[in-house]
Amino acid sequence: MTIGLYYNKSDERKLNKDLDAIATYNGYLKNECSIQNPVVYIEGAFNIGNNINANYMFLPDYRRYYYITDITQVRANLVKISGRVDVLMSFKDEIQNSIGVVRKQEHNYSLFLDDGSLKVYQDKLIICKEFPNGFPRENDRFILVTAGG
Amino acid sequence: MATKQIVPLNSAKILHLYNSDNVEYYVGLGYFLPINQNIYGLCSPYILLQKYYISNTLKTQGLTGDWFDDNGNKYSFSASGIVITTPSDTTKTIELPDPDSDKTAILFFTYSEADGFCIAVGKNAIPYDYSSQYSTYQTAQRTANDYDYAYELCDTISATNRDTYGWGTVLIVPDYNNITPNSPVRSAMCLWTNKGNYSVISDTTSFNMQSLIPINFNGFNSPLVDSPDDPYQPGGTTTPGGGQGSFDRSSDPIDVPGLPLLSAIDTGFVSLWRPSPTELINLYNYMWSNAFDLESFKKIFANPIDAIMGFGIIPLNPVTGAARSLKIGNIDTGVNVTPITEQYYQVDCGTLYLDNYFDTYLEFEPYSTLEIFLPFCGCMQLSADDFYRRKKEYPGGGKINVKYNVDILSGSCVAFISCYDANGATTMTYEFNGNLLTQIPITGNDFSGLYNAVLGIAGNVISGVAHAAAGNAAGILGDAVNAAHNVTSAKPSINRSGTIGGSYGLLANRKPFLIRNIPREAVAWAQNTFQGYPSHITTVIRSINGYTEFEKVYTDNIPASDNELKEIVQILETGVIL
Repeated sequence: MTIGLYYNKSDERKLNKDLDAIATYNGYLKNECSIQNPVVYIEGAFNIGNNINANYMFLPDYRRYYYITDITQVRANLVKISGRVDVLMSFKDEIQNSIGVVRKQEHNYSLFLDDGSLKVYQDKLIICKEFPNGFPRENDRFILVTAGG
Repeated sequence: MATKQIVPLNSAKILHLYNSDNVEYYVGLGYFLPINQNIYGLCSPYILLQKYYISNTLKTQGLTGDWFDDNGNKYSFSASGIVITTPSDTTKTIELPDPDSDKTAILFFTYSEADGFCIAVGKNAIPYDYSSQYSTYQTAQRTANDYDYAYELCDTISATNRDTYGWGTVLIVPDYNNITPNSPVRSAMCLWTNKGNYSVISDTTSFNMQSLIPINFNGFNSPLVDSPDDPYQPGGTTTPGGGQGSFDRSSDPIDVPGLPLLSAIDTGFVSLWRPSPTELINLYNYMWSNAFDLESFKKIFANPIDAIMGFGIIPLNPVTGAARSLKIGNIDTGVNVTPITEQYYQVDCGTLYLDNYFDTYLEFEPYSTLEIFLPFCGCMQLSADDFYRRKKEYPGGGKINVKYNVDILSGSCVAFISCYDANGATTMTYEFNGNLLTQIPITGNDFSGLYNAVLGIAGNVISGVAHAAAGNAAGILGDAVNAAHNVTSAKPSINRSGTIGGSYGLLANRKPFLIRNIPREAVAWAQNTFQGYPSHITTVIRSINGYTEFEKVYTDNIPASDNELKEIVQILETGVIL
């Protein structure tokens, strides 16, 4: 079984991971193996020091990418690598073809929707705007109302 | 040949229309019509008239003119569709299928309830005028081969399989009697065959045209099952509903009304004067001189003051005529004073442009509030929703205008606050009343009343000062506003005998001003990158990037295990970076 080791520089939530390839090894399985949480063994030339940054792997046989959850030195020439499937990277093309209703988005949003996520300070801005015209004091006049003409 | 019959769907109806010659035609709706024993056609709601064929471009030919049904409803046909005019003059338009659309549509025409005529329209259906075909058929009195026109239909729909089957899409509306321009139209695929079998495929979501309304296709050709006795049955059963709104956003402009046409001045019973201080002194001297014929005056009035119906100060310069001798009652004083010739005035305080501060929901209530101080009326609460507009829809921003209609005889004034709608039309939204006449006491009793009223307002002003001393800036403004409100809301009484009102309006601010109360947004740096902003759009995931949370997502065609699919959905709903 081919095992591609990578250094994953991306957040787990990122669909398309930014990977640095480290090395490719031939490994094997022992006993039964979950496709979602596989445990693979590499025997021989694996050097933990050279692969200390490996936090990600690709198993072509399973067509899945995995987060490396643990690397265990079983004995001198045997290393056990445990993984957890990264469903995003493994099925990124299919996911990208999916359709959904977006609740929140980084770029494509409507600021006229209020979902309560935007906070406001307790104090408020108070702005006064005066109208251009009014009743200027210069126009004040006496008025006398009398009966008859 | 099999006997033709009409097999109704559950909601099937047939409409009888009459032309101007009172010739009756049939328009079927929702009928499943067996053309012969093996060939079936599914009628669309747009089954039209025997004589009037829709051309290959669907531009009407001969469909003009008025048509009426049994109930007197008027039907007319236009290039864009069928217009149904009900007796109440409510016009309803049914859009015909777009002939240029790649959605094949079959319109089924009937001549009688037992016969039918098919026409296919649509890009894939090779639009064709079947007039001649029908004419041939009709000439043969439908004895030659009913199969012919079904054959043509099949030919149109599936030229390579004309002998076996044809398929097409029909359009169906669920309730013919309640068709509106926004009636949901359901597309359905139907299959014709002359090989002894037929089928109707009702689930054709891929032919989605508008909102889909399910129709029970399994219901045709089967008797209705009576429901068991149910005490609630007379009340009817549940039905789908809603969504029939007109979405009519038109708004009538509400203008500031004009000034009244009838004036007290025109009656001759009262006169209005605009005396200068000098003229007032001359008048005073005259009234306290021997020249004032008190005896003659008392024949009409008990007291000289009775003839002076009002005296005060108004904050505007009235329209006047040429100076003439002032008369008190019928006594000519010989004092030349300028008469006022107009009782009503309109004062335009101008327009303010309210540019959006955020252009977000924070612009509106309850986040933002709006108050206005109106001279002689007071401080009034407005709704920010009435004045702010989305900048995209109305780039000029919200406009607000203040006008006063004034009656200087009584001092009454009405302030009109107008806003502008999205189309720029003026829409009046608020009217406040007040009084701008400051009455001047001309007797001792009047003055004591004025003095007491002024003392009463002093307490409010002092209260505002106390807050200012505490250093509360907001409090200063608020109390100042409140003080202004208190001052000007103490409306002067309107009393023709000269009882004092308030002089507060003269002391307060003379220009209207707006007070915008705007929240301070607390947006974290790159908040949208980390948690996004509200979106609520439906999209293919491929078309967006960046941080995204989904409300709901379809995960079709992902070759993952059940647990993996659940995890994918969970991640997409809680936040993913695309």
